[in-house]
Amino acid sequence: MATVEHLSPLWDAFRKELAEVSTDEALTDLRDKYLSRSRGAVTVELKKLGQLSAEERPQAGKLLNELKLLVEQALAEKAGEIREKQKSARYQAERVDVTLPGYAYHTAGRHPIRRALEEMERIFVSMGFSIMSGPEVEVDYYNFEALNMPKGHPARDAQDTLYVTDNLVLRTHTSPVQIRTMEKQKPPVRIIAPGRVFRRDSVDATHSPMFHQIEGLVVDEGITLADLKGTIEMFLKAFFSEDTRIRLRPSYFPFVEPGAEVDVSCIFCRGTGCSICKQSGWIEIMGAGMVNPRVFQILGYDYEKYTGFAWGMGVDRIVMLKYQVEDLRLLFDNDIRFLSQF
Amino acid sequence: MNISYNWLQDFVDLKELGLDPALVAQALTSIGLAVEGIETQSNDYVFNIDVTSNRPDCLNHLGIAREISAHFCLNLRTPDVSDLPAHRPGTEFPSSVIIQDPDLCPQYAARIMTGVAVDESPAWLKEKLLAVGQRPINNIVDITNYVLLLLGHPLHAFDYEKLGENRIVVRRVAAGEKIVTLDGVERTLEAGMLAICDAAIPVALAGVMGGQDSEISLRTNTILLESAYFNPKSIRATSKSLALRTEASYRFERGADPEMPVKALNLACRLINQIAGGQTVGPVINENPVPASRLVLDLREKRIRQVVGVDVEPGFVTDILTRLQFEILNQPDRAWKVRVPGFRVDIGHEDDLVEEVARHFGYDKIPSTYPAPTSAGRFLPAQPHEQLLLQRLLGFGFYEAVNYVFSTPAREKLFFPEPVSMVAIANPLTEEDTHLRTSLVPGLVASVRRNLNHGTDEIRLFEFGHVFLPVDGAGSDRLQEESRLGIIATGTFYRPYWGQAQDEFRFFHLKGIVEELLAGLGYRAVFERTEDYRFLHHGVASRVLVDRRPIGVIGQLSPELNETFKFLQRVFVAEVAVDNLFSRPLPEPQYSPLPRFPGTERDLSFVVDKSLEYDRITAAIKSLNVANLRDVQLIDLYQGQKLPFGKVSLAVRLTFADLTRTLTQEEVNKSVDVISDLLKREFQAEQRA
Ligand SMILES: [Zn+2]
Repeated sequence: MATVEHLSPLWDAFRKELAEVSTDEALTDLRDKYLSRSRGAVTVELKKLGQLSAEERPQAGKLLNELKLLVEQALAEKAGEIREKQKSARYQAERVDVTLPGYAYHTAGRHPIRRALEEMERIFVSMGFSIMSGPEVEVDYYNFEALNMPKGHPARDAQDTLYVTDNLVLRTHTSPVQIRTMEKQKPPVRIIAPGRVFRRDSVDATHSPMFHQIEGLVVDEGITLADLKGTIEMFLKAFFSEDTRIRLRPSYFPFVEPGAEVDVSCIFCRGTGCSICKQSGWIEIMGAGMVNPRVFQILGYDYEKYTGFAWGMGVDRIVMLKYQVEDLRLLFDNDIRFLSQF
Repeated sequence: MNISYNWLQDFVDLKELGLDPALVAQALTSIGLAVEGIETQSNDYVFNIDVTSNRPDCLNHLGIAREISAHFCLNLRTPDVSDLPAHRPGTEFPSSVIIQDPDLCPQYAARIMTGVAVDESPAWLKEKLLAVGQRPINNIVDITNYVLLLLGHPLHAFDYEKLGENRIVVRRVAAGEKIVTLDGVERTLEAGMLAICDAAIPVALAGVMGGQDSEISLRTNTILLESAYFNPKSIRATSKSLALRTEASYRFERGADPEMPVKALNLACRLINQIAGGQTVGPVINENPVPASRLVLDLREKRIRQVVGVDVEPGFVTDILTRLQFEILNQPDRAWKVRVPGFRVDIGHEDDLVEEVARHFGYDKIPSTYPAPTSAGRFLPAQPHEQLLLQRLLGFGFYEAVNYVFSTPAREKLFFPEPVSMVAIANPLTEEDTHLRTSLVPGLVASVRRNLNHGTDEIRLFEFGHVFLPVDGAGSDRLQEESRLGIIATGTFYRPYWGQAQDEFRFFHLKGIVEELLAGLGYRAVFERTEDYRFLHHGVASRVLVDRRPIGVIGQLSPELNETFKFLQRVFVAEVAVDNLFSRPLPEPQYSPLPRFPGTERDLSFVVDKSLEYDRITAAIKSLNVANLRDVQLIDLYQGQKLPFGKVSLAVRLTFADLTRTLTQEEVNKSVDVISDLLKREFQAEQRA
């Protein structure tokens, strides 16, 4: 008889057995025991319904169907629990020590000088400058003569030169590239010339017979010393930081007139004075000036129509300054302990 | 240049106006006379001023005082340089000056003084000299030095009695003439050098240094005092050629004031009279075959604006030029016609005057403006190529090296067969920089050596740089400068590491890198065994070719070099000429539709002679033009105890695919059979299971 009293022990027995189940197999067995078509305990009760009278049947049927639903629900819940347990057991088994070191991939870095050059080039290109290059062994004419430094000019002394022949030198600056460009191109000219340059110097902590320079040149109608100031300032702010200030002092380079030495506010003390800037708050960073009309004359430019400015700076010194490298020789030793720091 | 603060007060009032040394230094720096330091002395301050080579007029106290007076609008007191009348008639000590080479000596002034008591200088004079670092010698020499430091004009005093025939001849010397200079060195002169001579022999190197024989001594009674103007180029050439640089030569070669000789002479004579009791004999002897002329220039207001970018008050321009002792001849419409003073050898063009105005106007008062670009900035055409290779090399773990471009034949001949043709430096400073490199390899090998010395044994470096190849032999003005990429590697490929098999860096690692770099540029590299390179192991060396042209070389460093450099591990190098490779634009990516049907892979193992080059096998397979064969990959190579001597077993993976359909097994089998038959026929390959 499918009454509450009759079905309660069946439900209690099921619950008890279900509590014992912990594997998929046991769960299948339990399902069969209660719900299998042929001999499941609940199925058997359902089959007995036919023996009941018409009055009893609806009530008993309802109870039995409720029980079947409860059993199915409980089995499904249990199946979920088992899956969860299995998943976490698998995670446990496949766990790795995430603190073990990662595989040894090995990427390298650029040479600090070339890296600085690359950054400078990028800034200048963004300011509309095009990059130009030229040979490292240069004709005397381009290195000196055309830059208003004829033979016997005292300024040649300041740049002790390595000669290949009387007519060929290891370029002492990248200025020859400016001349070569102006020979080929009419204004407007807006270029930079990065590259290696050479001096007759022996190697020590602060001297090198080879170093790197980046020079710039702007020629057009209406270019002024004020433009030089603004352009250099824009570059130095981008390269160092936005709060960088600059100072121009009159100076002399044969290929410019008026000429200037450019100081930048000390990148370490921001201009308040420290040991690196010798308490001055300023660091000398480049030479600059308005292109000397004598240079324009040599090139056949009309200096009444066109004016221009040029500047040049040493990259190695800036790298040493920026990273506080105490010995210039480290830049050309290719010591991986050094290179891997950049 | 050392400049004494106290001395400057002889010409300008500084203390009285509160212009302390710090303020003066700041002002000097702001007008282009960079004060590098201020030395504090017991009762003076000394400025160390970096005077640029175009401003010899500032290599003395009066010149600096003039700049200060202009900057602060101070009155400038100048010393008395007027003529000193003759105390005694010239007949007592006759003399004469003959200038034989007026092109090198346009003016030579001299004066005889007698009754000179050579002695110690008075305290005030010694003090002035000592303050700026000049050692006092005797009153006569000290006075010439004093005038030099005051006016900037070098003088020289001769012992009158020691001059042959008591006279002066200024002339170019003949080769081989000799002089013992004041520093005690006997110097043999070159033809064409300018000397001050007596009737017979050189007694001084004009404008450079006096001679010992005619030097002032304590017994000297009569002197001949020289004050001349010499051609800067001639002085410079002599000073350079004799490697003798003096205070005098330093000023003459930059350009002395051509109007100064007689003035400086007068000042010196006056002092000698006061201090050493010397009496002038006769008038100033003044030979001046080529009188100095002053330049006249126009300065236009609009040019100032055009160059500097600001409007400067015309009154300021007039004032500053006047204070700097430019003579304003007249002021036509918005312009100035000025006569340049003799001491301003740097002024020769209107823009030089613009600079005078600008530097006293103050560079700090010039605004910052930015000229807008008229076109986009461009990198060099080869920069994207270099950038691509660079990124890949860094990714492969190679550090970027920068080596000197210098080399020596001794170093280069370790690597290349003799005679090594190199570009020589005419004036090398050291024994390491006598020539220019012809290859990047020696520098990279030296870098490896240095790294090993420091205990780094896993080394991967690359360098982009120029090499220099002579074209017509030594001494020629022609040479070829070539851009190359050098790569070097040694040590472990994978370090000992958990979960990862350790591996040494091998030839095929480097070859793979070179192939990958060239592929990035759109080239398929071909490798060809070579024994032509002395620096490479002849069993592990290959030329690198693209488009059938050799572009470089790759291999293992030779055992001989390993011994020379004491390398205990194998070192692999590659060097590639990049100019041509970079001249073609980088390949544009080419899209092709993705295959919709999966490909089929088949592995084929076979044994062939070890001497057979793998490239021949792939070439032969390629020549078959097997339909749908997409790729041939070497997946295994074995030689050893399982094989007969001289044999090698290869396994290749063949990939077949068709864009439009899935291939049938039969088709693929047929293709594999064709390939297998070919290998058997051409190379006697025995197929393995
Ligand atoms: Zn600082």
